[in-house]
Amino acid sequence: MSRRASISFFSLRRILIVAQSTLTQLVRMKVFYFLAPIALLFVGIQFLDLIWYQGAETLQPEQELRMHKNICLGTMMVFSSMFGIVATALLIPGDIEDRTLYTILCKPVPRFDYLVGKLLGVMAVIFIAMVVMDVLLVATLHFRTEEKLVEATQYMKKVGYLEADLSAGRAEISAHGPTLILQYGVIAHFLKASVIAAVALLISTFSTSTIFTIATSSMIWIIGSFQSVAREALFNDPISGGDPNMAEQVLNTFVSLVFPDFKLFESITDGAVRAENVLHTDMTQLGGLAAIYVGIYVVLSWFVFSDKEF
Amino acid sequence: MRRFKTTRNLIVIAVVLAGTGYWRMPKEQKFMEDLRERKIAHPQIDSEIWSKMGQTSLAGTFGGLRSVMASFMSIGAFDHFEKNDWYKLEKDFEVITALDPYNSHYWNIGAWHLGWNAASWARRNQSFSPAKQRLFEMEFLEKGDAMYREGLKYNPASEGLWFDRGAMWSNEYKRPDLKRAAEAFEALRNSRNPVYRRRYLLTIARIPGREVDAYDEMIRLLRENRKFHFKIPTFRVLALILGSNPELPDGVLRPRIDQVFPTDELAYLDLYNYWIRIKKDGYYPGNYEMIMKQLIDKLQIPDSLNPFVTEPKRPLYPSVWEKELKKGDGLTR
Repeated sequence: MSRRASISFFSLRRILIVAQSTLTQLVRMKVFYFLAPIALLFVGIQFLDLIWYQGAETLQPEQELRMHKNICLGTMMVFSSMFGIVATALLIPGDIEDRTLYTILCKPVPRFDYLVGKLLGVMAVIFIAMVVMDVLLVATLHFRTEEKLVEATQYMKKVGYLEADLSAGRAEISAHGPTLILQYGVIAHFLKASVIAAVALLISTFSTSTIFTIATSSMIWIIGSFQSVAREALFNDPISGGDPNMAEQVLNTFVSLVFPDFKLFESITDGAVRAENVLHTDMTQLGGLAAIYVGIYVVLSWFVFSDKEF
Repeated sequence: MRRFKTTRNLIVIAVVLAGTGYWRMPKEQKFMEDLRERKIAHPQIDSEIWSKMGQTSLAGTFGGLRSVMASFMSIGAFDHFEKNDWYKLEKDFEVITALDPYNSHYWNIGAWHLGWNAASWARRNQSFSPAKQRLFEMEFLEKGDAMYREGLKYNPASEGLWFDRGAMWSNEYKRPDLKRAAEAFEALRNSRNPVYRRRYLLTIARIPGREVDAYDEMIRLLRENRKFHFKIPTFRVLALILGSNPELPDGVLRPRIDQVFPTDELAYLDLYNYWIRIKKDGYYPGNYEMIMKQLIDKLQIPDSLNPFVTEPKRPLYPSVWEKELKKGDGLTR
């Protein structure tokens, strides 16, 4: 039996080694320096009064907290998605350029392990960055919520809230603070970034330039955000503008079948920002969907990459 | 050979994506419908709104930043307010509320700009003829009201929207429409906020023919939190005046002056100020004249503080009242 034939198709250990080296490679690119301006932004909006009119009856603590969460989560989403695209797009061409790829592939490392390891490395960097940003978000939001609770309690006592109503009012404001539901929003962003990274991985396997990979992945990111519009046009009656013609139907079908639906991820985050009742089962469904997307893109990437000549 | 491989790969990718897409599409749709039904996902944006969006908002929306774009656009729309550019402001808020319809704040701010600020601007605009002033004022009031109502469709539990809609239609400096105001305040009868809860009573007490309803509402409020509601002067007077209504059935609770007010002086002070409420805001007068005349006799009120002799021009504050008491040698203490 040849040595090559004895190599197992999949090895978690090998994948983790590739992932670890990818993580080191990305850290050496000083990607975490990105976090400095983000930290400044998160702390800065703590002092930004987003409601420009004041007065007892316009006291809207929930609104201020929502704006705070919106800006922080929006920043996290842009950073994680962009990072997912750019980092993944740079990896394979980078490995070819500095000839690391040849060193790795001439060893008993199946190409599948290499690809999965690379993707996991990128996901690990996104995860670490999101944990740091999440800690900042939770800390700043906690202080802001406490501040708003004090203001609102003073107002409620002044106008004569009953004790039970006062507690309920405080609970409503606290629901807009750092809660488990808010964490669901952060997780949804991480899952979305992982899917985007997997898309970029697929494109980078057949693309000949980094710019093409970045541009195409960004387009898919954008199209994925309104894929649901196309899909819903197939399932539901149009809300306005009359029945779609043949060309529109073909386009809607193509977009719905081929592109991922990022709106689902965004909806969970929006719900989390509004402190709506996002359920554990929603997260399970979303996680499952993300796993399916990543799985499909990784298998396709492997299919293209398996017999690629360098 | 290489070209063949690329074509083969692209075909395989397309077939696999389409195949798995066919399988996942109904599941995604079901998940989205479930999220939408529970108001977690935003409703679809109407095609008319897409055409009103600027490039930045479009890019932001496509990038998955609907709520963030709405936040920034609402801050940007403030410029139109400063320049009195009301139609641009209205267009901006149509987009903002479409981007984040479950945020009552945007509906409230949009309606406030149109129904309050734009309407006042039209009313005071000296370059318009009186007819045009009124026409524009009414147009903006209706636009504001429409925005409140649309916002309430998406956010029926938003107390701020109900309250501000009611406040707009009961504002003495606008064009009061107390029926519409009462309709809005009625939704707040069980609000946790006592300020909101009282407004229904304070509105229907101004609508002729609804005095008995107002009495019932006053009794309901008294039973739930007498201590706090009695801190409000108009509420104290209403308890007395509405209870003096001869149309009330026999045997109902009719609060007496000594049950409502700790002293006759305080009763007189509150009732004196209620005169302005009757004349300016159209509050129910009931037995006001008789009660006041009895107090005037009892306290020997000077003519300067007698509203039937000297027309009150402004509310009587406790400090002014104290000063008058010192001056008024005929006043019993």
